[in-house]
Amino acid sequence: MNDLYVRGALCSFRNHYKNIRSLVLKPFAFRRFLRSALSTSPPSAEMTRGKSLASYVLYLATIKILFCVCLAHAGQREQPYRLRGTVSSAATGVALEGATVQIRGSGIKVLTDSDGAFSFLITDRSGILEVSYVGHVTKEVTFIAGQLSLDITLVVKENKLDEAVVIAYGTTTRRLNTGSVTRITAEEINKQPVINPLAALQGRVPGMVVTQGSGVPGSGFDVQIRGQNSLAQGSAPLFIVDGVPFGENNSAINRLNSAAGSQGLSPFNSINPQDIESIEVLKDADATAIYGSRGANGVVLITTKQGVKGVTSIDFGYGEGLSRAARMPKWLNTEQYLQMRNEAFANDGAEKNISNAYDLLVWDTLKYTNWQKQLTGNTAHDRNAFVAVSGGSENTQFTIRGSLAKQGTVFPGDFGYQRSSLLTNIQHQSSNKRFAINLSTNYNADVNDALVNDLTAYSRLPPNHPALLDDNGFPLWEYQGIPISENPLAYLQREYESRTNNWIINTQLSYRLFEGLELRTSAGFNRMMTEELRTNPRIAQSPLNNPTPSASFANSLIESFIIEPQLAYQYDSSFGNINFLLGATYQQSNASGRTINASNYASDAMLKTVMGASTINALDQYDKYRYAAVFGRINYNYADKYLLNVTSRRDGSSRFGPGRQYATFGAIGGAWLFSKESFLEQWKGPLSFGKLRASYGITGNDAIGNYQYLGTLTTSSFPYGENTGIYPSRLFNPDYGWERNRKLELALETGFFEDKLMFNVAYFRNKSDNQLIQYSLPSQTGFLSITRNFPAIVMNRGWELIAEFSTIRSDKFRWNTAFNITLPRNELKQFAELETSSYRNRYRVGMPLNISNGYLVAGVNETTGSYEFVSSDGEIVSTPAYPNDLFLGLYALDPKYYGGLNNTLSFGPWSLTIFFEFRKQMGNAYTNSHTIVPGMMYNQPLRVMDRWRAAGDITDVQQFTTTAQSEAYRTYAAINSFGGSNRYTDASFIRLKNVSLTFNFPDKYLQRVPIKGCQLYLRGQNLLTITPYKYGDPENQTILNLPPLMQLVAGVQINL
Amino acid sequence: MKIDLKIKILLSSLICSASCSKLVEVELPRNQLVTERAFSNDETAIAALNGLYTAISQNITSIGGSALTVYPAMTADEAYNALSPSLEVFSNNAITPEHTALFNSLWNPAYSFIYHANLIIEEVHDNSALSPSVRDMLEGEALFIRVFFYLQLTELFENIPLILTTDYMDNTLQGQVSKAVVYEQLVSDLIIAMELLKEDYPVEGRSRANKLAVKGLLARTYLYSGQYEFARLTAEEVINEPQYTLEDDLSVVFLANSREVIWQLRPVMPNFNAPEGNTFLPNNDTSMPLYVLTDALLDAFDEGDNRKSAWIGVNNVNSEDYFYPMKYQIKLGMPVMEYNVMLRLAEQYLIRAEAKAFLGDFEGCLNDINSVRNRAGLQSYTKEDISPTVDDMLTIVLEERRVELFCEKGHRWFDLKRTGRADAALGALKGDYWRSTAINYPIPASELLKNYLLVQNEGY
Repeated sequence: MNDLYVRGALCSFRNHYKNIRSLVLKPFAFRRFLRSALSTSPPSAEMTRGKSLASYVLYLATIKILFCVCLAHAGQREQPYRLRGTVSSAATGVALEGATVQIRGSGIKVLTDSDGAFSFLITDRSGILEVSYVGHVTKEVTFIAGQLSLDITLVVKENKLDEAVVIAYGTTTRRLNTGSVTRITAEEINKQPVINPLAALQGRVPGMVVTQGSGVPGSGFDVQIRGQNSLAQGSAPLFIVDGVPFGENNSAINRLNSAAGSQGLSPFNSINPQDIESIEVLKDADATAIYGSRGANGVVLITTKQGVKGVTSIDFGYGEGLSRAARMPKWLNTEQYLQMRNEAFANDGAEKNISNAYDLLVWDTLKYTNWQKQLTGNTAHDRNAFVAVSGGSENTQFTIRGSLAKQGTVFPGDFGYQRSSLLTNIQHQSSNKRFAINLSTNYNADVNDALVNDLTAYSRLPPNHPALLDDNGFPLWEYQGIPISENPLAYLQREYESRTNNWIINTQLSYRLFEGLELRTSAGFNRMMTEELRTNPRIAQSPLNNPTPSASFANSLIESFIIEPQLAYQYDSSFGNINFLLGATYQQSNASGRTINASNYASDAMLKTVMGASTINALDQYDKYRYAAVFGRINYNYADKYLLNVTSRRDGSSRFGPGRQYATFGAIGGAWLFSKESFLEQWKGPLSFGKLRASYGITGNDAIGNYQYLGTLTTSSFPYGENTGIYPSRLFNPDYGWERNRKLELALETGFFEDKLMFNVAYFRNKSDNQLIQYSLPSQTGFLSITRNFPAIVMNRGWELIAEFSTIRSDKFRWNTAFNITLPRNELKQFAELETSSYRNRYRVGMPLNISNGYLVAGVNETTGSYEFVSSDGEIVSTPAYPNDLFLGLYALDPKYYGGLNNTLSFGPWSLTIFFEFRKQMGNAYTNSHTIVPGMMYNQPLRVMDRWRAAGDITDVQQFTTTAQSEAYRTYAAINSFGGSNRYTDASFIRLKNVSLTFNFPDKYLQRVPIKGCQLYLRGQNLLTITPYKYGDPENQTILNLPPLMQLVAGVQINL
Repeated sequence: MKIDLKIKILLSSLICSASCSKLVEVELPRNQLVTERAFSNDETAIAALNGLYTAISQNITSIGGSALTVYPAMTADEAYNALSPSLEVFSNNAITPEHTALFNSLWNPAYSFIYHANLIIEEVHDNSALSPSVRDMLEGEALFIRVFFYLQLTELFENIPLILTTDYMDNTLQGQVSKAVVYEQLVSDLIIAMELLKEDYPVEGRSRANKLAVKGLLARTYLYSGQYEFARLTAEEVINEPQYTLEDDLSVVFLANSREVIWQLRPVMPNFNAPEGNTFLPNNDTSMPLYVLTDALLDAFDEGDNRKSAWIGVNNVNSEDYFYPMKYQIKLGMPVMEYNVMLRLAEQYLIRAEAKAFLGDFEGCLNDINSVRNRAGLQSYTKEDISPTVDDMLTIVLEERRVELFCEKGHRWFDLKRTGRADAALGALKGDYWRSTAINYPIPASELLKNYLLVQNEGY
């Protein structure tokens, strides 16, 4: 009973305290304070949970004063009675624990227990109860004496500010977050028919650029948060899936090359986007400093789905779709091609012979094949299916999700990508709520049946190229004595297959020692196994080269585990709430792999086993990484108004030499919710939410690969005679340490008209110094690069703006709009001795890192028909001097601004989402990938027909040429080797990234069938691109790789 | 809060004091050796040398393999590439500094081998952990290999950076030195190597360098640098050595067990024999050879020269004859019969002949030439054939070198360059395409970008 009294007393004490504080601000409130102090009722709310010792002591200390105050007025009261009730969710009917029930005007408030129940002892005969709960709309209920029980239901507040946001080692809300975090929800991800979760982020996160390099299924995405921080080291963020670091550096998982190209196969194919509950992108120091050395490039937290308590539900879905290569360049037809070739010979005054003009002299000049259409013109078939079961009781919840996805290719032949995944999650909580466990297991198996070569590059075959296959379908390698050097249809016989098995298992245990103090441990394990096979059968090889069949086999295994014990302490007091977090991390990864090159097979039939090879050569790889850290966080919240967050981490990494392994990082962040200030009350107008936040801190980057400090020798692939050899594989360099990134952020977050209109603006400035680079060396040193710290400073700064409108929120019709835009600026602030370094022709202080360098092309000389250049003195010259006439920073190639615009409309059962991604940028023109001189024996995009033909022609494409001695050839070669201003073009685009149309069958149609919900959908990806970029795709900016595919999927989802 | 801080301090000190560095220590990768450990015993130190030979031999299309033959053959007047238009620039002497072959096949592999050799030289020198005989052998052979590649580099590119240590900080900022400085270094290196190495080959076969290989290379170095007396004496020492004789049968000269060979590289990749065989031999007897010999070369052979029939093949494509080099006769296949011949006795005879010509011993000169001619089934030159001037004698020597050493390790190109006869020979043949400045290959563009001290050769 004493306890109950104390609790009540505390409530009223807090109230008093608040009133006293407001007295200072508003003297006129003095009378109100007196009145309320005098009317304080005896504290008597039910106490349902244990108190922490500390709080208890504090309560005892305060009780003396309060006791007197309360007793003094007790005599004036009427007879008290007990008011009881429950609070539950209107949507699910589940009891809400911890909801605040307050009697208006009295200051008495209680929290509901685990059954959602509350009760008061009060004397007022009637009044109003204010019931509030996180994420729900606060409700006011009137009560009168004699009422038996109040059953109060709360509806979910559609306020994004109060949605949970996952942050490092915990959660918060948008309202109370002191850091910069962008959350992408399952809803947004699910609407996109993508295989790779990184694809689902494109254009949606301010400050984050996600670029797809190739449309080949399974290929990787480039991810960069707030610009390039490092000159040469990884700029990829840290990815954490359910607490386990994953896909380190976003680097490719394949060892053998395939059609997926230079970016390789993405590790994130092993995460099914449909299994993701949310993706949080952590950007500023406040959010990332707790990740210490790994947080410099930002952090992406991926959280998978969990079960919710309630009725067990079964969902299943099936979808089928089509995809094809969009935005392919138009190539010359035979007539145009012959015209180009003949004109080139005529221009050069060169004689055609069997060596330089067999396409004109030997090949059939009437033949026409559209190679692009033949090689990349197919329509791929995609398919996906899933089944999910979830549910749970009060203490235990679970979900099990199984899915299959299949993606075809646009290449001829039967290739494709297939993934099956299984996600299980179990949560359990002991009845006394002290112990909790959460186990998630994510298993993925994928098979990528791909090609070895991206056939897109062979669109360059001359259109009159002889047939590549004979009548029986066998590849041809010779046409009338002239060898066929490239036969893409024969390459279809080269097989590439990768099989990846990936497990991510994470367990989180927590135990509440006593009120406020919790011991947690997160332990995770990731095991990714990839097996690859690549064959090169005899039939796919020109007999001119190497006529024996060969195959390569590779396997790699990445195993890592992480354990993070944590101690969390929550301390609530009248001076605010303080959360402490103290933790440690120990992480170890082993990566090992083997590549076996097997050759000299007797026949193509035995290629898939290593045993058929008479010669075998193997290559080992072995990497070990250890990482240890301690970290801590103190979060202070005063009245949800003033927030302060301090984080720190001390890190050690095996990637650095002895004595350089440890470093300390940290950050401080704060927020002021000024909209809660009472002095703003009268003139804040429509402002419903206002927050100013700022953070500053230091993070690090150790993404340099393992063992880089050792000078080593590696075993040679082959013995010399009978004797094994070793060769120097790395230069010795122990003296390098962490790269530092100092991040500063200032942000203003506002909501207007009850948060229907939200507007956020953030400014960031990140300075990265002590740059760890693969310092490029002239090859005379014996090596091409060395890892070292370099006194260079790279600065990224910019503005991020978000605007969200919930324009219409009626029951029938809803319309939400979200817009984000980022204006980044990257700059090389400092670079010691740049002029004598090997980077002198690449970077310039004061310019962005990502610049185009080369000769300044003045245009095509009207008389000679060749390119001419602007020299360093501003003169027009026909031959630029190297290196004097090189210009650095012809164009900045980073986006000038980028962002996305999302519109969601729902009307009754219909819902439509339209999402545009946009980027304003300069990019590589097609000539930067297809560098063959127009006039040579390769096809060219139609654009070359704008060439100069005769004196007086004014054009920007020079004359055709085919011999290396011509001036036109030399100018082209000069541009090829050192770059040229005409190789860049406006690659801005507005892309209709995603369209999703869904139809939910209204309940009345479903009454007669045992179905709770049924949804039909039509989803499209990359449907339309508006761009001035003419030849190829403005995103991957090359015509030799398959561009991102256009995709359309239709499907159904049923909920039982 | 205070308690918490204490815990924090306690925990961090726990983790970071006793086992601080242990926690983040990792064992070495299994397939790599730290440099000091590699040179701490004879076995792995020898492995480092074997690794160098392997690296050279494994890079079949690089300066230790076919590149040294094919690119100079094209820039001179020996052969042209019939199938790759991108190589036309070599035949036309219009190489651009950014041509990838310059860097990938010549410059970069050479400097990578040189680094490897420098590492061995540095690590074994005065290394008491190694037995003295091994120490000498490793240093001598590494010096020999370093000289071999510097010789090729300076002949191809003229002024080159002369890197003699492994210190990358220092080496990054090295400019070029003149050819004369390079030669000075090479001669002194070879003299040291000669003292370090024994006359016997370190292992069976002639796939590693012995003292005589060093002498053979030294004779060439003396000749190229105009020290004719030394060249004559050194070549003589090799010629007088009984383990080397000119093979009478032209078809065995390039076989693995040829007695004419002084140094050859053993092929290491399965199925591969010598790189030139792999490059030059056409796929079958109807297909177009990759490299076709020029008429100029074919015409240089005297009537009845057995070398023309034994060392040159012909394919008829589209009723035209295309001739190709056939010194090596195996394209691919096991067992390995042909090694990559780097130094052979016939060259030593011709070195001595040339030295004698310069020294005025015209008769001796002809005698040496006759040794080579007779083997090819040709009549001896007689005293009547002696021309009165050094220049004319030189012409005879060079003509013999041209047909004996055709399409072999760049000899023809280097001969034209060092004797100043390129303008006459190539100007006549290639007409307007020829420019005198083309005699030096351009320094690869990528290197100019990375090292500001490098100066591009004239004409590029």
